[in-house]
Amino acid sequence: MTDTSSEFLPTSERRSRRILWLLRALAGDPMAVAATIWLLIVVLAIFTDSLSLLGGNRISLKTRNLPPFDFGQSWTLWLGADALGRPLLVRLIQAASTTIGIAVVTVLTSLIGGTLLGVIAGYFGGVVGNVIMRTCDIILGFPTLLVALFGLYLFGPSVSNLVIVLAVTRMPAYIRVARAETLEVRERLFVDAARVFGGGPKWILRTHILPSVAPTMLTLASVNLAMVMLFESGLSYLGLGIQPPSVSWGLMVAQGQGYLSSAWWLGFFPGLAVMLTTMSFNLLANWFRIVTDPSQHWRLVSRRR
Amino acid sequence: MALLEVTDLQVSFGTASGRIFALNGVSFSLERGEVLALLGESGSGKSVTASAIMDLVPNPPGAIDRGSIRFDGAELLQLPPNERRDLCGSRIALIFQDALAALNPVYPVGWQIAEMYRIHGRNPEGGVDKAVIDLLTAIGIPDPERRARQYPHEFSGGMRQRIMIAMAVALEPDVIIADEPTTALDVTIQAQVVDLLATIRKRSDAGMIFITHDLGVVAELADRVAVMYAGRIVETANVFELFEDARHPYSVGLLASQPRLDTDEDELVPIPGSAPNPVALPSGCAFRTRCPRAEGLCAEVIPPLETVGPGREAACHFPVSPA
Amino acid sequence: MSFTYFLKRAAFAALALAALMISAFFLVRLTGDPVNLYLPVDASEAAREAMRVRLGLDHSLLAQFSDWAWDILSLDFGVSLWHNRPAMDVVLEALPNTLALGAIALALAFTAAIVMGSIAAVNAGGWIDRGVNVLSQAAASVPDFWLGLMGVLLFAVTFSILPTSGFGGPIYWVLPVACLFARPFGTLVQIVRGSMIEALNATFVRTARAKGARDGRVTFVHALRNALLPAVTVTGDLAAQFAGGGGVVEVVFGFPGIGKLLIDGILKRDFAIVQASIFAVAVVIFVINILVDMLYGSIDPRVRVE
Repeated sequence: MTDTSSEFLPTSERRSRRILWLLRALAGDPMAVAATIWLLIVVLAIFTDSLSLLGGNRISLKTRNLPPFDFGQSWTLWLGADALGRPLLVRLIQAASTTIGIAVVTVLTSLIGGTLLGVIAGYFGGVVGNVIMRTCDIILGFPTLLVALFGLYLFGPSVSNLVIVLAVTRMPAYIRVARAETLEVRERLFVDAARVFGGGPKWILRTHILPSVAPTMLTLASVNLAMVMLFESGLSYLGLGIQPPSVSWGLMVAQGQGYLSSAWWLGFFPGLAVMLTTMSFNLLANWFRIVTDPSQHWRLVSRRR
Repeated sequence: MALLEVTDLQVSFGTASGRIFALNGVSFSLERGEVLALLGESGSGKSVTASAIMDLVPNPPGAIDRGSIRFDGAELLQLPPNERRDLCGSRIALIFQDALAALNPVYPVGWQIAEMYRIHGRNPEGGVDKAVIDLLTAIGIPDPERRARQYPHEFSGGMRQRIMIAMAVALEPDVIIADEPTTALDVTIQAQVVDLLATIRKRSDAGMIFITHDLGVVAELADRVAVMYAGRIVETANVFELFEDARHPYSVGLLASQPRLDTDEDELVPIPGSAPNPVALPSGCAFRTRCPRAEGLCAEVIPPLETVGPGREAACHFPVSPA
Repeated sequence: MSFTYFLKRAAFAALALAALMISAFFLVRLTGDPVNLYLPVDASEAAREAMRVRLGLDHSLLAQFSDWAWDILSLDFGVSLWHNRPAMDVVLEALPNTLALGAIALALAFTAAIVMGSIAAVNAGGWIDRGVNVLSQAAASVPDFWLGLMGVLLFAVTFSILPTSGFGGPIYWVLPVACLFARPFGTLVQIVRGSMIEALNATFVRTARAKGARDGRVTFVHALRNALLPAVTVTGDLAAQFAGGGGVVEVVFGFPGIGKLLIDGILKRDFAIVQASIFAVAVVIFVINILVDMLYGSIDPRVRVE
């Protein structure tokens, strides 16, 4: 990912060159551009909501079960309203922060926890490494949804339990990858580092192993964002995830189910939001995988088609 | 009329850094029963030449920009694709360098040899299976019935190379192109493979193009040699003339840099500099930056391939004087 | 594969399952009141006490464990409170439905993915490839329960050509299969495309061309066989997931499979069912994994263990 000719430029210039290169690479993949645009819209929406610019959730009998696409109404009602007259668009945006927030927190937890455990298992090995890997195998042996359901059953459905359960079920994937990469780097560096620099494990870990492990882990994380969103939506739909009065897109689909024939938009738009966001995460994950693999750069940056 | 005649072939590839000209006007010819060695360093364009003849240049990003390849009178580059493909394997065959990568790992070896008959719709006397067994025996694989059912990864490197050779000669083609068949092998196995090729050569009147950078193999097998540099043929001569009386400075340099047992030299004399970057070739003669005989003209005009003696050519403004 | 290898795998699977069940046993009893798993949170104290006695929770932990272990080993998972029958019986009734549903959906997804993935690979970089890419990304990102609801909305409510839910003849299977089909299809198309492109660029494909093989033979006889390998592995993983994870779709359609059974069990706090379902699913996953290994060995000769 480095433009070797710029190795000797001042740091600020290097950084702006790198950003330009990244932007060019992004432009080379139109799907990734679309994904970024959608995600920016979502983030913007969440931001405006947090600043309470949206006028809130006023119950209004006048707009009860209002169908969507009626552009004569105020813009918040363009996606329709629910049984209590609340604009669907506003509720969607409020749910967005919960849905995406949970996904991000879960993925961060698995990422950090998984990387740490994986690197430890790979670098130090021994009994600790074995225990970690065996536990991983056990968790990986069962479908995520199953373990998540069981965990939520045992501990009760709360936001923190949800995050923990989802993070734990996905962590073994990170641990395995981190361990494999660590082993590879360790083999390469071990003799050199120990002999030449006399550096201790912490130094080796920080300056050599983590940077080489990072791109793969981040790619894994970006793929996982989509998966976790789908799981959380499913669990919330079943009633085992986010509980009312909090709201998430999955929960909104469940709430819309009862109005399927009378007010189809109540179930349609939340699910569509999940799909578009999941798809965006997936597309960006794909793009990220290509960008961090130097042998694939030509796909994005080549001028010839 | 020559069996195979390549004239002014130019092949280029589009890459992110620009268009690379892998072949810059290659011309040579092959007669029936002759072994022609195509000699050059990596990157000189030897394998691309073989690919071009065999219709294996991936298009995109590669393209044959100009030139002609005449085989047995027919212009290959103008044949309809299916007819061209039919010639491959049956009348012109290619032996690949890395036999492990070149053989399909999921099919037994006998099946892959038999495929030659199946693709071209041949029905040999006694059946395809018997023909395969005979072929394996002829190339020296012991216990052929059992071995034919085994998979490529169960053979040694030398045996795999023989299997590739067997596939190539199965339909008795008129032209056999061997792309560095000995490079990936140990020296002792190399000798066996070279022997096998020599035997094949004796038994048929096929023409053979032997691509290599190994002068020892050239000396053993070749009748004539074409030396390649930076996508061009820079010298053609028969093998004796080349070794004793090379005219192009590059050929002279190649021969001088070889370790020899029959002289008392203490030092090897390498050619100074390194192979040119295909995207940024020197103007005029591509070899001029490493040539002790280069002068002004060399930077301005690309030396054409000219006759410098009966049956031999060199592309140099200031060729080495005859010995 | 060799018998010892099979035994080792079986032993490990049994160990994993035992670990899960035992840890569940202790977790249930050590985190909060286990009675909560059987009764709604607002149950009266008298009801709770009665349940406690009925479940043997008033005995010592050790006694409970030995009773429980003995029951499990004799495959007695207790009586379902909601169905009033031995839990394992209920589970065994529901299991074949889920297996059939998953098998059909996966077979369809696999076949369709091979076709689409190969077409995309052969056309790599072109418009067909991009179209397939968008389609597969969308399919891989769709929430299956939402797809189910929209399918019901479209085909059952608006057009009335398919039933909304229930179980019976083949027509009741159409929508559930379609929903389960989407995500594996999306994922597999990407994988097949990737491995086909790799295979089509491999040296042995050049050999096939040099032997005179036409494009059709090159693609389907030489490249495809090699490209299948990763797709089979992923399908195996997906099969294992479907064994227990297709639950949400089953719930949407009221499809009487083990997923719905498990989720209902959780929502209705029927612990016997939950325990029995998890056990059954784990066994199925183990069997599927072994089958996938054997299948892989028959496709890729390099993997066949000496």
